[in-house]
Amino acid sequence: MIEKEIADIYSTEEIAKIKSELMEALQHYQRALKISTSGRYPKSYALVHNNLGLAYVKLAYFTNDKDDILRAIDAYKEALKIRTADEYPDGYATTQNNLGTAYVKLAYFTNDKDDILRAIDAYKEALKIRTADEYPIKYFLLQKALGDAYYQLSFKENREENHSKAFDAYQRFLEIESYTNECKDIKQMCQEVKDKMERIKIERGKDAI
Amino acid sequence: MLFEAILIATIILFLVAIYKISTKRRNHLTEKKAEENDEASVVPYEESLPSFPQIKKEIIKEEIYPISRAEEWFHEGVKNQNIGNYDDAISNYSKALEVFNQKEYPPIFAAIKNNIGTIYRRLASTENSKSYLYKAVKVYKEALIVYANLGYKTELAMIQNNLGVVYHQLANMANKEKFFYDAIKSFKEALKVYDIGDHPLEYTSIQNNIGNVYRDMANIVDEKKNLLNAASAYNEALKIFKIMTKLSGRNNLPVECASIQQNLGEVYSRLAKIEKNREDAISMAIESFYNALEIYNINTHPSEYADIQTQIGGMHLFMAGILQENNLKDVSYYIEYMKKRKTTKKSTAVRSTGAQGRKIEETKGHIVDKEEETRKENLSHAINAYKEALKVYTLEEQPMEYAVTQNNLGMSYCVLAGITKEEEDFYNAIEAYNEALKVYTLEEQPMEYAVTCTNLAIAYSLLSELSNREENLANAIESYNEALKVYTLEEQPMEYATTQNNLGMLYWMIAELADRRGNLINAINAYNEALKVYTLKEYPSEYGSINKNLGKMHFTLFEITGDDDELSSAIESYHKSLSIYTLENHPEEYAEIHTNVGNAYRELSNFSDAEENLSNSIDAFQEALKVYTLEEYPSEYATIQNNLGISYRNLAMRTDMFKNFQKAMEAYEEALKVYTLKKYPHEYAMLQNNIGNIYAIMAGLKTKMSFDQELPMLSANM
Repeated sequence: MIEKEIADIYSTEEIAKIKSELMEALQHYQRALKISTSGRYPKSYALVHNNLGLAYVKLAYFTNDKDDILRAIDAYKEALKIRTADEYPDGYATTQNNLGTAYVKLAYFTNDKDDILRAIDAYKEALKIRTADEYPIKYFLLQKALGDAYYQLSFKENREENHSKAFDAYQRFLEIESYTNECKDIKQMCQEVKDKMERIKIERGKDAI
Repeated sequence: MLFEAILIATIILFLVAIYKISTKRRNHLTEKKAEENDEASVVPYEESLPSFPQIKKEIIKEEIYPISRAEEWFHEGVKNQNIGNYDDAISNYSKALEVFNQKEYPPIFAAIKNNIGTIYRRLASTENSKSYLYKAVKVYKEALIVYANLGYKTELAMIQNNLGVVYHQLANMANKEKFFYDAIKSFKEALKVYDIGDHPLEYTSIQNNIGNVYRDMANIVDEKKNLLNAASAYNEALKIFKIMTKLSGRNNLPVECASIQQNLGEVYSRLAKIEKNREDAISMAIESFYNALEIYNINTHPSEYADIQTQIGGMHLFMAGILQENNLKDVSYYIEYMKKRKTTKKSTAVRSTGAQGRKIEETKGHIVDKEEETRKENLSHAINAYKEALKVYTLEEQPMEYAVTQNNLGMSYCVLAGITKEEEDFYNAIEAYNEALKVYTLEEQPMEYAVTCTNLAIAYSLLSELSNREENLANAIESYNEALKVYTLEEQPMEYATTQNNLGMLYWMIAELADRRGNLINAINAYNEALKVYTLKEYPSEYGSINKNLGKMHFTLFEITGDDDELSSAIESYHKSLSIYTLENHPEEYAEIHTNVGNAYRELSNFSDAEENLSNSIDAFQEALKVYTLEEYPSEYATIQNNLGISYRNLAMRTDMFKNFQKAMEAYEEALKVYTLKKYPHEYAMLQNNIGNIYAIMAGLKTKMSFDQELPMLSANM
């Protein structure tokens, strides 16, 4: 599925260019990590690992290689060794958020419900820090990611329960409309979520019958 | 022979008078200056009368009755004059003059005129009236003409001296230059008779009088010239004592020698304040004071002893470069001095980044060491002198002198502590100030109270650099707030502004230790109060530095609260400070402030008007780079290039993507010229991260994927 999408959107030259840019990025991060060891510069160590994870996730998009996602997950886990919720709450939430997204991507490859559950756990960890009061935008976006993950999970198990969890999360996300509706991207996201909620309603109706 | 006998008697009286007057004069804290001028004439009236037998001789030639009657009036007059019934005395004398007229009895006529003159002089002092002095001049002159015609040289000299004394009084009261010259002229006429060989004591006292005239004349005209003249007159006056010392040692010197030495010391003290080569004048002042102290000892002359010790202390403080004068007013000078020290230290620290700067600092440091040694010595001497004075001044007996001296002692300790960095010296300073505050109260001596509280605040804030930082800063703040109970914006704008300015600094410092947000707000409020006085036009340098500090504090407040209003305030304050810190005149501050402005604009771009604020941020960094060149300020250059890279990167995500990414990359590459793997491994690593981010973002943008990289802030230059 992914491969087809990419082939639709990008030319071969473009893909080659993007890949080389990402490889360049990885090279720079590796240079940074030669210096930023966990003992010497723990904060930098965590920061670069977080960025490294992001680059691998992007790379996986083009290589379609599960190993790149696994490398990203490893990088995030390294970052989290330093970024604990107590010491660096902000960094902890960022990396947990990224980790959740990486597990969702991993699940495309493995089709393993445990990976989705891992993603949900990571999002929930991030939400411990990203509260609605303190980080409203990040809170709403995480609710959408959480909703998406539950929706995915509903295909694997406890259909009704996960439908309802996804629905709840989506509802919390939609509160963003009363917070801000200036951004085009957000409008688009809201529409997407509303469509999904409609689908859940219809499917629920089917279940009821 | 007879006259000589009279003169000896006069001299004895003169000595007594000098003693009394100098005793009175020493208590200058309680008495007004006008009384200082009440010098003794060489020949007080009681002794200046022609002796009775002489009169008799002349009386015999005349009719018995009216003469004996006139004689009675005359004696009555003397009696009344002696007990202070001046009106009666004058009326007695006028009756006597009806017989003893100028034509027939010139000597007695002149003697009576002299006595009347002396009465007028007294009346002028007690009633503080110039008109009596004019009358005195008139009658003395009448006597003068008679003695001149008679060729009575000694009497002539006596009248000249008395006339000199009146002119001196008149000069001080009328504040007229001419009378000072008249006084000097009269004294010099007197000196034609009273030469040092035949009349050493008269010579001495007239020279002392001349010294006093020049000293007072210095108040209104040609200060330096007249003070020098005063000094040479006093030195003339001291000649006889020098001879006495040679003959019989220092043990038997009379107290008037001490008084003249003190006068001389005071004149040198004043010269020290106006002379370019002040060190010589200071040492001569101190030498004279010590000479006086060889005669005035603590047991026989406690009050003179304490007063002179206080003045010695003041001179040493002055020598240490701290005080203009030994009084409370000059504390402001001392505060300035302490402030200057602080800023000099700061700016050399900044300058030491360049190799050239370091050299300058080293040579400077050497001179400073030598200067500090001398300063330390002077401060120790000052401390000793004040301690001696405090043996006399007690809290119970002389509370005001006690408080002034404790305050000065405190200052000496405090500045000494600034050099020695000894905690004990600070504790001594604080103790002395607290002793002074036992006397000074907010209600009774508000100004002195405020000044001493200010001094206390300085001692506490300096001590906070050594120990119990938070506690001592809090004490300093409390003391300044006490001073502010006195200093108001309307009444003492200068003191108000200085205090608020210092308070701002202290709140800022304590914010690092406790209640960061609350204390920063306190600091900002204090600085804003100071700015009510420190306007751009009148106090440009204060205006500039306070606004610069305000910029920093608003930015820190933003970091704590996340309130973007603080960013706008920070930028506003920085812009105000830039009207002083121009590229031409203050390149370093210009660059530092622009760096901070650049960072503030970038933060602000996260809240509103992203493109505009990012462009402003980039512009500010470019301004900073006008000073921070790769060659001269490599580390600043690299920091700014990194920051510039980040701003371009952020701008790229808004507009002109590829062009701005290109610029970001260029900026990072520039930074890498300094941040090499070998020299700055961590900065190198973070730049690699940032460069990696740009590649990843470029790839991400093309894939329309979200990006969430994190950026390290390389020494954000706060």
